[in-house]
Amino acid sequence: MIAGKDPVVGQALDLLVPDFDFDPDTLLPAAYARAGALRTARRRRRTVAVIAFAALLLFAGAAIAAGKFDLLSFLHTNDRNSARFSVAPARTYHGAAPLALTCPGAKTGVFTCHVTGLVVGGNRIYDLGQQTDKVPPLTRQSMLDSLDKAQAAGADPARVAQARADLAKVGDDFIRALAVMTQIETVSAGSSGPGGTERVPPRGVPAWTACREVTLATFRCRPLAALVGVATGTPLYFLQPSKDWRRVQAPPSQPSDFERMLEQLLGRKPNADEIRFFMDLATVASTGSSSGPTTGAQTADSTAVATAQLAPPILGVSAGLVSVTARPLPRRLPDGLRPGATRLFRVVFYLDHSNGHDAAGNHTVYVYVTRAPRLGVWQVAWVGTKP
Amino acid sequence: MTELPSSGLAAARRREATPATIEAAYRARATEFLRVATAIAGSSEGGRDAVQEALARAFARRGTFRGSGPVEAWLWRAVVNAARNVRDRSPRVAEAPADTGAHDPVDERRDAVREAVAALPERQRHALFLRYYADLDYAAIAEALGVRRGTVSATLNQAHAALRAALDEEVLA
Repeated sequence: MIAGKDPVVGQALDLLVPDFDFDPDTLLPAAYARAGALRTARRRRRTVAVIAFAALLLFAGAAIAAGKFDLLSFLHTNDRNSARFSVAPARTYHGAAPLALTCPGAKTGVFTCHVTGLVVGGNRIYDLGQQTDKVPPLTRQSMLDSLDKAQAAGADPARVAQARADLAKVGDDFIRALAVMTQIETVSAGSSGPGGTERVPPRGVPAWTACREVTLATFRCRPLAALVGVATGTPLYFLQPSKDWRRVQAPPSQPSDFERMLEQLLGRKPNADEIRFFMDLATVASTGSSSGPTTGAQTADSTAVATAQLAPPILGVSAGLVSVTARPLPRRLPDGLRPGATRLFRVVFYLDHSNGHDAAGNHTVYVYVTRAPRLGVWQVAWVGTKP
Repeated sequence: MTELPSSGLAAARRREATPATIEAAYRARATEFLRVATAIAGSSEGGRDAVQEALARAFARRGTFRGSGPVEAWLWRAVVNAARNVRDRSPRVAEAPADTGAHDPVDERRDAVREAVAALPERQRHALFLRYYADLDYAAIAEALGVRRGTVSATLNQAHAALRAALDEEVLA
Protein backbone atom coordinates (compact mmCIF):
# COMPACT_ATOMS: atom_id res chain seq x y z
CA MET A 1 0.00 0.00 0.00
CA ILE A 2 1.48 3.37 -1.01
CA ALA A 3 0.60 6.86 0.17
CA GLY A 4 -2.82 5.91 1.55
CA LYS A 5 -3.81 3.93 -1.52
CA ASP A 6 -4.45 0.23 -1.80
CA PRO A 7 -3.63 -0.90 -5.35
CA VAL A 8 -6.02 -3.83 -5.10
CA VAL A 9 -8.88 -1.55 -4.05
CA GLY A 10 -7.92 0.85 -6.83
CA GLN A 11 -8.08 -1.96 -9.37
CA ALA A 12 -11.50 -2.97 -8.11
CA LEU A 13 -12.86 0.57 -8.21
CA ASP A 14 -11.64 0.95 -11.80
CA LEU A 15 -14.14 -1.74 -12.69
CA LEU A 16 -17.00 0.45 -11.46
CA VAL A 17 -16.13 3.70 -13.22
CA PRO A 18 -13.31 3.21 -15.71
CA ASP A 19 -11.13 6.17 -16.60
CA PHE A 20 -12.34 7.99 -19.72
CA ASP A 21 -11.75 11.05 -21.85
CA PHE A 22 -14.19 13.89 -21.41
CA ASP A 23 -14.53 17.24 -23.17
CA PRO A 24 -15.23 19.93 -20.52
CA ASP A 25 -16.93 22.12 -23.13
CA THR A 26 -19.86 19.73 -23.40
CA LEU A 27 -21.25 20.82 -20.03
CA LEU A 28 -20.21 24.48 -19.84
CA PRO A 29 -22.89 26.15 -22.01
CA ALA A 30 -25.71 24.41 -20.16
CA ALA A 31 -24.10 25.25 -16.81
CA TYR A 32 -23.89 28.94 -17.67
CA ALA A 33 -27.50 28.93 -18.84
CA ARG A 34 -28.63 27.17 -15.68
CA ALA A 35 -26.65 29.66 -13.59
CA GLY A 36 -28.64 32.46 -15.18
CA ALA A 37 -31.88 30.74 -14.23
CA LEU A 38 -30.67 30.24 -10.66
CA ARG A 39 -29.75 33.91 -10.35
CA THR A 40 -33.15 34.93 -11.69
CA ALA A 41 -34.89 32.69 -9.16
CA ARG A 42 -32.80 34.20 -6.39
CA ARG A 43 -33.65 37.71 -7.45
CA ARG A 44 -37.32 36.80 -7.52
CA ARG A 45 -37.15 35.55 -3.95
CA ARG A 46 -35.52 38.78 -2.89
CA THR A 47 -38.29 40.63 -4.72
CA VAL A 48 -35.82 43.03 -6.13
CA ALA A 49 -37.66 45.60 -8.13
CA VAL A 50 -35.88 47.82 -10.58
CA ILE A 51 -38.00 50.85 -11.20
CA ALA A 52 -37.45 53.25 -14.03
CA PHE A 53 -39.35 56.48 -14.30
CA ALA A 54 -39.44 58.50 -17.50
CA ALA A 55 -42.64 58.34 -19.42
CA LEU A 56 -41.20 59.50 -22.71
CA LEU A 57 -38.27 57.13 -22.79
CA LEU A 58 -39.79 56.34 -26.14
CA PHE A 59 -37.37 58.91 -27.43
CA ALA A 60 -34.86 58.67 -24.62
CA GLY A 61 -32.38 61.19 -23.49
CA ALA A 62 -30.09 64.12 -24.17
CA ALA A 63 -27.55 65.82 -21.96
CA ILE A 64 -28.94 67.37 -18.85
CA ALA A 65 -29.53 71.04 -19.34
CA ALA A 66 -27.03 72.00 -16.73
CA GLY A 67 -27.97 74.69 -14.27
CA LYS A 68 -31.48 75.11 -15.56
CA PHE A 69 -33.04 72.44 -13.37
CA ASP A 70 -32.51 71.67 -9.73
CA LEU A 71 -31.85 68.01 -10.28
CA LEU A 72 -30.85 67.15 -6.74
CA SER A 73 -34.16 68.27 -5.32
CA PHE A 74 -36.01 65.35 -6.76
CA LEU A 75 -33.23 62.77 -6.69
CA HIS A 76 -33.76 62.51 -2.95
CA THR A 77 -36.37 59.96 -1.83
CA ASN A 78 -37.74 58.85 1.52
CA ASP A 79 -37.42 55.18 0.68
CA ARG A 80 -34.28 53.78 2.32
CA ASN A 81 -34.27 50.75 -0.03
CA SER A 82 -34.47 52.82 -3.18
CA ALA A 83 -32.07 55.08 -5.00
CA ARG A 84 -32.89 57.69 -7.61
CA PHE A 85 -30.04 58.91 -9.75
CA SER A 86 -29.25 60.46 -13.11
CA VAL A 87 -27.35 58.88 -15.99
CA ALA A 88 -24.71 60.72 -18.01
CA PRO A 89 -25.29 59.51 -21.60
CA ALA A 90 -21.93 60.83 -22.81
CA ARG A 91 -19.90 58.78 -20.34
CA THR A 92 -19.43 55.01 -20.53
CA TYR A 93 -17.98 52.63 -17.98
CA HIS A 94 -15.82 49.88 -19.50
CA GLY A 95 -14.61 48.10 -16.35
CA ALA A 96 -15.59 44.80 -14.78
CA ALA A 97 -18.89 44.14 -13.02
CA PRO A 98 -18.46 41.25 -10.57
CA LEU A 99 -21.59 39.53 -9.29
CA ALA A 100 -20.90 40.41 -5.66
CA LEU A 101 -18.71 42.78 -3.66
CA THR A 102 -17.77 42.86 0.00
CA CYS A 103 -17.71 46.38 1.42
CA PRO A 104 -16.83 46.30 5.13
CA GLY A 105 -16.61 50.08 5.26
CA ALA A 106 -19.83 50.87 3.39
CA LYS A 107 -21.02 54.32 4.42
CA THR A 108 -21.86 57.71 3.01
CA GLY A 109 -19.16 59.06 0.71
CA VAL A 110 -16.63 56.96 -1.17
CA PHE A 111 -15.64 53.54 0.17
CA THR A 112 -13.61 50.57 -1.03
CA CYS A 113 -15.02 47.15 -1.84
CA HIS A 114 -13.45 43.82 -2.76
CA VAL A 115 -14.62 41.07 -5.03
CA THR A 116 -16.40 38.70 -2.69
CA GLY A 117 -14.18 35.84 -1.65
CA LEU A 118 -11.06 37.88 -1.03
CA VAL A 119 -12.22 39.28 2.26
CA VAL A 120 -13.45 36.94 4.94
CA GLY A 121 -16.16 38.03 7.36
CA GLY A 122 -18.17 41.22 7.52
CA ASN A 123 -21.81 41.59 6.67
CA ARG A 124 -21.74 44.26 4.00
CA ILE A 125 -22.07 42.13 0.89
CA TYR A 126 -23.55 43.77 -2.20
CA ASP A 127 -25.06 41.84 -5.12
CA LEU A 128 -25.03 43.10 -8.68
CA GLY A 129 -28.49 44.48 -9.48
CA GLN A 130 -28.05 45.88 -12.95
CA GLN A 131 -25.81 48.04 -15.11
CA THR A 132 -27.10 51.40 -16.24
CA ASP A 133 -28.62 51.29 -19.73
CA LYS A 134 -27.53 53.46 -22.61
CA VAL A 135 -29.71 56.56 -23.00
CA PRO A 136 -30.11 57.72 -26.62
CA PRO A 137 -30.30 61.49 -27.25
CA LEU A 138 -33.61 63.37 -27.13
CA THR A 139 -34.06 66.57 -29.08
CA ARG A 140 -36.80 68.00 -31.22
CA GLN A 141 -35.03 66.61 -34.29
CA SER A 142 -34.60 63.16 -32.74
CA MET A 143 -38.33 63.13 -32.03
CA LEU A 144 -39.07 63.99 -35.66
CA ASP A 145 -36.69 61.25 -36.79
CA SER A 146 -38.39 58.82 -34.47
CA LEU A 147 -41.78 59.71 -35.87
CA ASP A 148 -40.45 58.92 -39.35
CA LYS A 149 -39.22 55.58 -38.16
CA ALA A 150 -42.47 54.87 -36.36
CA GLN A 151 -44.35 55.53 -39.59
CA ALA A 152 -41.93 53.32 -41.53
CA ALA A 153 -42.54 50.64 -38.93
CA GLY A 154 -46.27 50.72 -39.62
CA ALA A 155 -47.70 53.51 -37.46
CA ASP A 156 -50.86 55.25 -38.68
CA PRO A 157 -49.75 58.14 -41.00
CA ALA A 158 -52.62 60.36 -39.81
CA ARG A 159 -51.55 59.96 -36.20
CA VAL A 160 -47.92 60.62 -37.12
CA ALA A 161 -48.99 63.81 -38.88
CA GLN A 162 -50.98 64.86 -35.80
CA ALA A 163 -47.97 64.21 -33.60
CA ARG A 164 -45.78 66.36 -35.84
CA ALA A 165 -48.28 69.19 -35.64
CA ASP A 166 -48.52 68.91 -31.86
CA LEU A 167 -44.73 68.72 -31.52
CA ALA A 168 -44.52 72.08 -33.25
CA LYS A 169 -46.74 73.56 -30.52
CA VAL A 170 -44.66 72.47 -27.51
CA GLY A 171 -41.84 74.62 -26.30
CA ASP A 172 -38.17 73.79 -26.02
CA ASP A 173 -38.43 73.88 -22.22
CA PHE A 174 -40.84 70.95 -22.34
CA ILE A 175 -38.48 68.95 -24.56
CA ARG A 176 -35.56 69.78 -22.28
CA ALA A 177 -37.57 68.61 -19.30
CA LEU A 178 -38.37 65.36 -21.06
CA ALA A 179 -34.70 64.94 -21.92
CA VAL A 180 -33.79 65.25 -18.26
CA MET A 181 -36.55 62.84 -17.31
CA THR A 182 -35.13 60.19 -19.60
CA GLN A 183 -31.88 60.26 -17.67
CA ILE A 184 -33.38 59.72 -14.25
CA GLU A 185 -33.77 56.21 -12.94
CA THR A 186 -34.94 54.75 -9.68
CA VAL A 187 -33.91 51.33 -8.45
CA SER A 188 -35.40 49.55 -5.48
CA ALA A 189 -34.53 46.40 -3.57
CA GLY A 190 -37.20 46.61 -0.92
CA SER A 191 -39.59 43.86 0.00
CA SER A 192 -42.67 44.67 2.00
CA GLY A 193 -43.37 42.82 5.23
CA PRO A 194 -46.28 42.58 7.67
CA GLY A 195 -48.29 45.74 8.32
CA GLY A 196 -46.73 47.72 5.48
CA THR A 197 -43.25 47.50 6.96
CA GLU A 198 -39.93 46.82 5.33
CA ARG A 199 -36.43 46.03 6.51
CA VAL A 200 -33.81 48.70 5.96
CA PRO A 201 -30.04 48.82 6.46
CA PRO A 202 -28.52 50.69 9.41
CA ARG A 203 -28.53 54.47 9.05
CA GLY A 204 -25.61 55.66 6.94
CA VAL A 205 -25.18 52.34 5.12
CA PRO A 206 -26.39 52.67 1.53
CA ALA A 207 -28.82 50.08 0.16
CA TRP A 208 -27.51 50.73 -3.34
CA THR A 209 -24.03 51.65 -4.57
CA ALA A 210 -22.46 52.49 -7.91
CA CYS A 211 -18.98 51.06 -8.29
CA ARG A 212 -15.92 51.40 -10.50
CA GLU A 213 -13.05 48.96 -10.90
CA VAL A 214 -9.77 50.16 -9.39
CA THR A 215 -7.76 46.95 -9.58
CA LEU A 216 -8.69 43.42 -10.57
CA ALA A 217 -10.13 42.74 -7.13
CA THR A 218 -10.77 46.21 -5.71
CA PHE A 219 -13.65 48.55 -6.46
CA ARG A 220 -14.40 52.10 -5.41
CA CYS A 221 -18.05 52.64 -4.61
CA ARG A 222 -20.34 55.45 -3.53
CA PRO A 223 -23.99 55.57 -2.49
CA LEU A 224 -26.24 55.58 -5.53
CA ALA A 225 -29.04 57.62 -3.97
CA ALA A 226 -29.13 61.13 -5.47
CA LEU A 227 -25.96 60.48 -7.46
CA VAL A 228 -25.71 62.73 -10.52
CA GLY A 229 -24.06 61.72 -13.80
CA VAL A 230 -23.64 57.95 -13.45
CA ALA A 231 -21.82 56.63 -16.53
CA THR A 232 -23.64 54.28 -18.89
CA GLY A 233 -22.79 50.66 -18.07
CA THR A 234 -21.90 51.36 -14.44
CA PRO A 235 -22.58 48.32 -12.25
CA LEU A 236 -25.14 49.01 -9.51
CA TYR A 237 -25.12 46.86 -6.38
CA PHE A 238 -27.73 46.31 -3.68
CA LEU A 239 -26.96 45.29 -0.10
CA GLN A 240 -27.72 41.81 1.17
CA PRO A 241 -29.82 41.99 4.38
CA SER A 242 -27.97 41.19 7.60
CA LYS A 243 -28.77 40.92 11.28
CA ASP A 244 -28.36 44.62 11.95
CA TRP A 245 -31.14 45.63 9.56
CA ARG A 246 -34.21 47.17 11.20
CA ARG A 247 -37.87 46.92 10.35
CA VAL A 248 -39.54 50.27 9.70
CA GLN A 249 -42.80 51.52 8.21
CA ALA A 250 -42.47 51.48 4.42
CA PRO A 251 -42.99 54.86 2.76
CA PRO A 252 -46.18 55.15 0.71
CA SER A 253 -45.82 54.41 -2.99
CA GLN A 254 -45.99 57.35 -5.34
CA PRO A 255 -47.38 56.21 -8.66
CA SER A 256 -47.64 59.79 -9.89
CA ASP A 257 -44.00 60.56 -9.18
CA PHE A 258 -43.46 61.23 -12.86
CA GLU A 259 -46.00 64.03 -12.78
CA ARG A 260 -44.35 65.63 -9.75
CA MET A 261 -40.91 65.40 -11.31
CA LEU A 262 -42.07 66.81 -14.61
CA GLU A 263 -43.74 69.73 -12.84
CA GLN A 264 -40.57 70.41 -10.88
CA LEU A 265 -38.52 70.39 -14.05
CA LEU A 266 -40.92 72.65 -15.89
CA GLY A 267 -41.64 74.83 -12.90
CA ARG A 268 -45.35 74.57 -13.78
CA LYS A 269 -48.00 72.04 -14.73
CA PRO A 270 -47.80 70.74 -18.32
CA ASN A 271 -50.27 72.59 -20.54
CA ALA A 272 -52.90 71.04 -22.81
CA ASP A 273 -50.65 71.01 -25.88
CA GLU A 274 -47.92 69.24 -23.99
CA ILE A 275 -50.26 66.63 -22.58
CA ARG A 276 -51.75 66.04 -26.02
CA PHE A 277 -48.29 65.70 -27.53
CA PHE A 278 -47.40 63.18 -24.88
CA MET A 279 -50.48 61.14 -25.77
CA ASP A 280 -49.67 61.51 -29.47
CA LEU A 281 -46.36 59.85 -28.92
CA ALA A 282 -47.90 56.96 -27.07
CA THR A 283 -50.66 56.38 -29.58
CA VAL A 284 -48.50 56.87 -32.65
CA ALA A 285 -46.28 54.13 -31.41
CA SER A 286 -49.03 51.73 -30.54
CA THR A 287 -52.15 50.18 -31.92
CA GLY A 288 -54.51 47.49 -30.68
CA SER A 289 -56.15 47.07 -27.29
CA SER A 290 -57.29 44.73 -24.52
CA SER A 291 -55.55 42.18 -22.39
CA GLY A 292 -53.73 39.30 -23.92
CA PRO A 293 -51.49 39.16 -26.96
CA THR A 294 -51.19 42.42 -28.86
CA THR A 295 -50.20 43.08 -32.43
CA GLY A 296 -48.40 45.87 -34.15
CA ALA A 297 -47.60 47.87 -31.03
CA GLN A 298 -44.06 48.87 -31.64
CA THR A 299 -41.81 51.85 -31.24
CA ALA A 300 -38.98 53.28 -33.21
CA ASP A 301 -35.68 53.97 -31.42
CA SER A 302 -37.36 52.68 -28.29
CA THR A 303 -36.24 51.12 -25.08
CA ALA A 304 -37.98 48.21 -23.40
CA VAL A 305 -39.07 50.43 -20.51
CA ALA A 306 -40.55 53.06 -22.78
CA THR A 307 -42.41 50.46 -24.75
CA ALA A 308 -43.92 49.00 -21.61
CA GLN A 309 -45.22 52.45 -20.77
CA LEU A 310 -47.41 52.24 -23.84
CA ALA A 311 -49.61 49.72 -22.06
CA PRO A 312 -52.27 52.23 -20.90
CA PRO A 313 -52.99 53.63 -24.38
CA ILE A 314 -52.94 50.09 -25.74
CA LEU A 315 -55.65 49.31 -23.22
CA GLY A 316 -57.52 52.34 -24.49
CA VAL A 317 -57.16 54.59 -21.46
CA SER A 318 -55.69 58.06 -21.33
CA ALA A 319 -53.25 57.70 -18.51
CA GLY A 320 -50.03 59.43 -19.28
CA LEU A 321 -48.56 59.22 -15.84
CA VAL A 322 -47.06 55.82 -15.15
CA SER A 323 -44.35 54.05 -13.24
CA VAL A 324 -42.70 51.00 -14.67
CA THR A 325 -41.05 48.25 -12.65
CA ALA A 326 -38.87 45.63 -14.32
CA ARG A 327 -39.73 42.15 -13.10
CA PRO A 328 -37.84 38.87 -13.47
CA LEU A 329 -39.26 36.65 -16.20
CA PRO A 330 -41.36 33.78 -14.89
CA ARG A 331 -40.37 30.22 -15.67
CA ARG A 332 -43.16 29.93 -18.26
CA LEU A 333 -43.63 32.70 -20.79
CA PRO A 334 -46.76 33.37 -22.83
CA ASP A 335 -46.78 31.41 -26.06
CA GLY A 336 -44.39 32.60 -28.72
CA LEU A 337 -42.12 34.67 -26.47
CA ARG A 338 -38.41 33.90 -26.29
CA PRO A 339 -36.59 34.47 -22.97
CA GLY A 340 -33.58 36.23 -24.50
CA ALA A 341 -35.62 38.89 -26.30
CA THR A 342 -38.40 39.40 -23.77
CA ARG A 343 -38.74 41.67 -20.75
CA LEU A 344 -41.52 41.80 -18.20
CA PHE A 345 -42.65 45.02 -16.53
CA ARG A 346 -45.24 45.93 -13.95
CA VAL A 347 -46.88 49.15 -15.08
CA VAL A 348 -48.80 51.28 -12.60
CA PHE A 349 -50.97 54.06 -13.98
CA TYR A 350 -53.47 56.43 -12.52
CA LEU A 351 -56.94 57.25 -13.73
CA ASP A 352 -58.87 60.16 -12.29
CA HIS A 353 -62.56 61.06 -12.32
CA SER A 354 -62.00 64.09 -14.52
CA ASN A 355 -61.37 61.80 -17.46
CA GLY A 356 -64.78 60.21 -16.93
CA HIS A 357 -63.41 56.90 -15.73
CA ASP A 358 -65.50 54.85 -13.34
CA ALA A 359 -62.42 53.01 -12.14
CA ALA A 360 -60.52 56.04 -10.85
CA GLY A 361 -57.36 55.35 -8.89
CA ASN A 362 -54.21 53.30 -9.32
CA HIS A 363 -54.17 50.37 -11.70
CA THR A 364 -51.52 47.74 -12.28
CA VAL A 365 -50.91 45.69 -15.39
CA TYR A 366 -48.12 43.35 -16.38
CA VAL A 367 -46.57 43.93 -19.78
CA TYR A 368 -44.31 41.65 -21.81
CA VAL A 369 -42.25 43.46 -24.43
CA THR A 370 -40.16 41.74 -27.08
CA ARG A 371 -37.53 42.92 -29.49
CA ALA A 372 -38.66 42.37 -33.08
CA PRO A 373 -35.91 40.33 -34.77
CA ARG A 374 -35.99 42.08 -38.14
CA LEU A 375 -36.65 45.67 -37.13
CA GLY A 376 -34.71 45.55 -33.90
CA VAL A 377 -37.38 47.62 -32.14
CA TRP A 378 -39.25 46.78 -28.96
CA GLN A 379 -42.93 45.97 -29.16
CA VAL A 380 -45.62 45.22 -26.65
CA ALA A 381 -46.39 41.53 -26.97
CA TRP A 382 -48.77 40.79 -24.12
CA VAL A 383 -50.68 42.78 -21.49
CA GLY A 384 -52.51 41.27 -18.54
CA THR A 385 -53.45 41.78 -14.95
CA LYS A 386 -51.15 38.96 -13.83
CA PRO A 387 -47.58 38.14 -14.96
CA MET B 1 -2.42 14.64 -7.55
CA THR B 2 -2.98 14.75 -11.27
CA GLU B 3 -0.77 17.25 -13.08
CA LEU B 4 -2.75 20.37 -13.94
CA PRO B 5 -2.08 22.81 -16.74
CA SER B 6 -0.12 25.65 -15.15
CA SER B 7 -2.80 28.27 -15.74
CA GLY B 8 -5.53 25.93 -14.52
CA LEU B 9 -3.53 25.02 -11.45
CA ALA B 10 -3.01 28.66 -10.58
CA ALA B 11 -6.66 29.41 -11.03
CA ALA B 12 -7.75 26.38 -9.07
CA ARG B 13 -5.58 27.38 -6.16
CA ARG B 14 -6.65 31.01 -6.10
CA ARG B 15 -8.96 31.99 -3.30
CA GLU B 16 -11.17 34.05 -5.51
CA ALA B 17 -14.40 32.80 -7.09
CA THR B 18 -14.91 34.54 -10.39
CA PRO B 19 -16.46 32.91 -13.46
CA ALA B 20 -12.94 32.65 -14.88
CA THR B 21 -11.40 30.92 -11.85
CA ILE B 22 -14.40 28.61 -11.46
CA GLU B 23 -14.25 27.66 -15.13
CA ALA B 24 -10.49 27.14 -14.96
CA ALA B 25 -10.82 24.93 -11.89
CA TYR B 26 -13.50 22.92 -13.64
CA ARG B 27 -11.51 22.56 -16.86
CA ALA B 28 -8.41 21.45 -14.98
CA ARG B 29 -10.22 18.55 -13.27
CA ALA B 30 -13.26 18.00 -15.47
CA THR B 31 -12.72 14.28 -15.99
CA GLU B 32 -12.15 13.67 -12.29
CA PHE B 33 -15.25 15.69 -11.36
CA LEU B 34 -17.32 13.61 -13.74
CA ARG B 35 -15.83 10.32 -12.59
CA VAL B 36 -16.53 11.01 -8.91
CA ALA B 37 -20.00 12.36 -9.66
CA THR B 38 -20.78 9.28 -11.76
CA ALA B 39 -19.69 7.01 -8.92
CA ILE B 40 -21.81 8.83 -6.35
CA ALA B 41 -24.86 9.37 -8.56
CA GLY B 42 -24.78 5.78 -9.77
CA SER B 43 -24.92 6.46 -13.51
CA SER B 44 -22.97 8.38 -16.12
CA GLU B 45 -26.04 10.44 -16.97
CA GLY B 46 -26.57 11.30 -13.32
CA GLY B 47 -22.90 12.21 -13.04
CA ARG B 48 -23.14 14.65 -15.92
CA ASP B 49 -26.28 16.20 -14.44
CA ALA B 50 -24.53 16.56 -11.10
CA VAL B 51 -21.41 18.21 -12.49
CA GLN B 52 -23.48 20.59 -14.59
CA GLU B 53 -25.65 21.52 -11.62
CA ALA B 54 -22.66 21.99 -9.34
CA LEU B 55 -20.99 24.21 -11.88
CA ALA B 56 -24.15 26.26 -12.40
CA ARG B 57 -24.58 26.76 -8.67
CA ALA B 58 -20.96 27.77 -8.34
CA PHE B 59 -21.39 30.40 -11.06
CA ALA B 60 -24.68 31.65 -9.67
CA ARG B 61 -23.74 31.68 -6.00
CA ARG B 62 -20.08 32.50 -6.08
CA GLY B 63 -20.93 35.33 -3.73
CA THR B 64 -21.21 32.68 -1.01
CA PHE B 65 -17.57 31.62 -1.51
CA ARG B 66 -15.71 32.89 1.53
CA GLY B 67 -12.15 32.28 0.38
CA SER B 68 -11.31 29.93 3.25
CA GLY B 69 -9.78 27.48 0.74
CA PRO B 70 -9.04 27.19 -2.95
CA VAL B 71 -11.86 27.38 -5.48
CA GLU B 72 -11.22 23.79 -6.50
CA ALA B 73 -12.00 22.48 -3.03
CA TRP B 74 -15.20 24.54 -2.96
CA LEU B 75 -16.13 23.05 -6.34
CA TRP B 76 -15.46 19.52 -5.11
CA ARG B 77 -17.87 20.04 -2.28
CA ALA B 78 -20.50 21.33 -4.71
CA VAL B 79 -20.00 18.31 -6.97
CA VAL B 80 -20.30 15.83 -4.12
CA ASN B 81 -23.48 17.50 -2.86
CA ALA B 82 -25.01 17.72 -6.32
CA ALA B 83 -24.22 14.07 -7.06
CA ARG B 84 -25.73 13.05 -3.75
CA ASN B 85 -28.89 15.00 -4.62
CA VAL B 86 -29.08 13.36 -8.04
CA ARG B 87 -28.70 9.93 -6.47
CA ASP B 88 -31.38 10.69 -3.85
CA ARG B 89 -33.82 11.88 -6.51
CA SER B 90 -33.26 8.89 -8.77
CA PRO B 91 -35.78 6.06 -8.58
CA ARG B 92 -34.32 3.16 -6.70
CA VAL B 93 -34.66 0.37 -9.24
CA ALA B 94 -32.35 -2.57 -9.09
CA GLU B 95 -30.32 -2.73 -12.27
CA ALA B 96 -30.35 -6.42 -12.99
CA PRO B 97 -29.17 -7.27 -16.50
CA ALA B 98 -31.12 -9.94 -18.27
CA ASP B 99 -29.68 -13.39 -17.63
CA THR B 100 -28.42 -14.62 -20.99
CA GLY B 101 -26.96 -17.78 -19.59
CA ALA B 102 -23.42 -16.68 -20.36
CA HIS B 103 -21.35 -15.43 -17.41
CA ASP B 104 -18.64 -12.85 -18.17
CA PRO B 105 -16.05 -13.02 -15.37
CA VAL B 106 -15.41 -9.28 -15.62
CA ASP B 107 -19.11 -8.56 -15.15
CA GLU B 108 -19.23 -10.89 -12.18
CA ARG B 109 -16.25 -9.14 -10.65
CA ARG B 110 -17.82 -5.75 -11.28
CA ASP B 111 -21.09 -6.81 -9.64
CA ALA B 112 -19.23 -8.07 -6.62
CA VAL B 113 -17.32 -4.80 -6.27
CA ARG B 114 -20.50 -2.79 -6.71
CA GLU B 115 -22.21 -4.73 -3.94
CA ALA B 116 -19.24 -4.37 -1.64
CA VAL B 117 -18.94 -0.65 -2.22
CA ALA B 118 -22.68 -0.13 -1.83
CA ALA B 119 -22.50 -1.81 1.56
CA LEU B 120 -20.02 0.78 2.86
CA PRO B 121 -21.22 3.79 4.87
CA GLU B 122 -21.68 6.88 2.68
CA ARG B 123 -18.68 8.75 4.06
CA GLN B 124 -16.39 5.81 3.37
CA ARG B 125 -17.72 5.48 -0.15
CA HIS B 126 -17.24 9.14 -0.94
CA ALA B 127 -13.76 9.21 0.58
CA LEU B 128 -12.79 6.25 -1.57
CA PHE B 129 -14.15 7.85 -4.73
CA LEU B 130 -12.33 11.12 -4.08
CA ARG B 131 -9.11 9.36 -3.23
CA TYR B 132 -9.05 6.92 -6.13
CA TYR B 133 -10.97 8.61 -8.92
CA ALA B 134 -9.77 12.17 -8.31
CA ASP B 135 -6.45 11.43 -6.61
CA LEU B 136 -7.22 14.04 -3.94
CA ASP B 137 -5.00 14.17 -0.85
CA TYR B 138 -6.42 13.91 2.66
CA ALA B 139 -6.70 17.65 3.13
CA ALA B 140 -8.69 18.10 -0.07
CA ILE B 141 -10.95 15.16 0.75
CA ALA B 142 -11.55 16.63 4.20
CA GLU B 143 -12.52 19.95 2.61
CA ALA B 144 -14.82 18.30 0.08
CA LEU B 145 -16.60 16.17 2.67
CA GLY B 146 -16.63 18.80 5.40
CA VAL B 147 -14.74 16.64 7.92
CA ARG B 148 -11.40 16.84 9.73
CA ARG B 149 -8.28 15.62 8.02
CA GLY B 150 -7.72 12.96 10.68
CA THR B 151 -11.20 11.65 10.04
CA VAL B 152 -10.34 11.09 6.37
CA SER B 153 -7.39 8.91 7.26
CA ALA B 154 -9.45 6.79 9.61
CA THR B 155 -12.35 6.62 7.19
CA LEU B 156 -10.14 5.40 4.34
CA ASN B 157 -8.51 2.78 6.56
CA GLN B 158 -11.93 1.47 7.55
CA ALA B 159 -13.07 1.47 3.93
CA HIS B 160 -10.02 -0.48 2.80
CA ALA B 161 -10.49 -3.05 5.52
CA ALA B 162 -14.18 -3.41 4.82
CA LEU B 163 -13.65 -3.85 1.11
CA ARG B 164 -10.91 -6.36 1.64
CA ALA B 165 -13.12 -8.34 3.94
CA ALA B 166 -16.10 -8.20 1.61
CA LEU B 167 -14.29 -9.30 -1.50
CA ASP B 168 -12.34 -12.47 -1.70
CA GLU B 169 -8.89 -12.51 -3.26
CA GLU B 170 -10.24 -14.02 -6.45
CA VAL B 171 -12.51 -11.08 -7.12
CA LEU B 172 -9.90 -8.50 -6.25
CA ALA B 173 -7.17 -10.11 -8.26
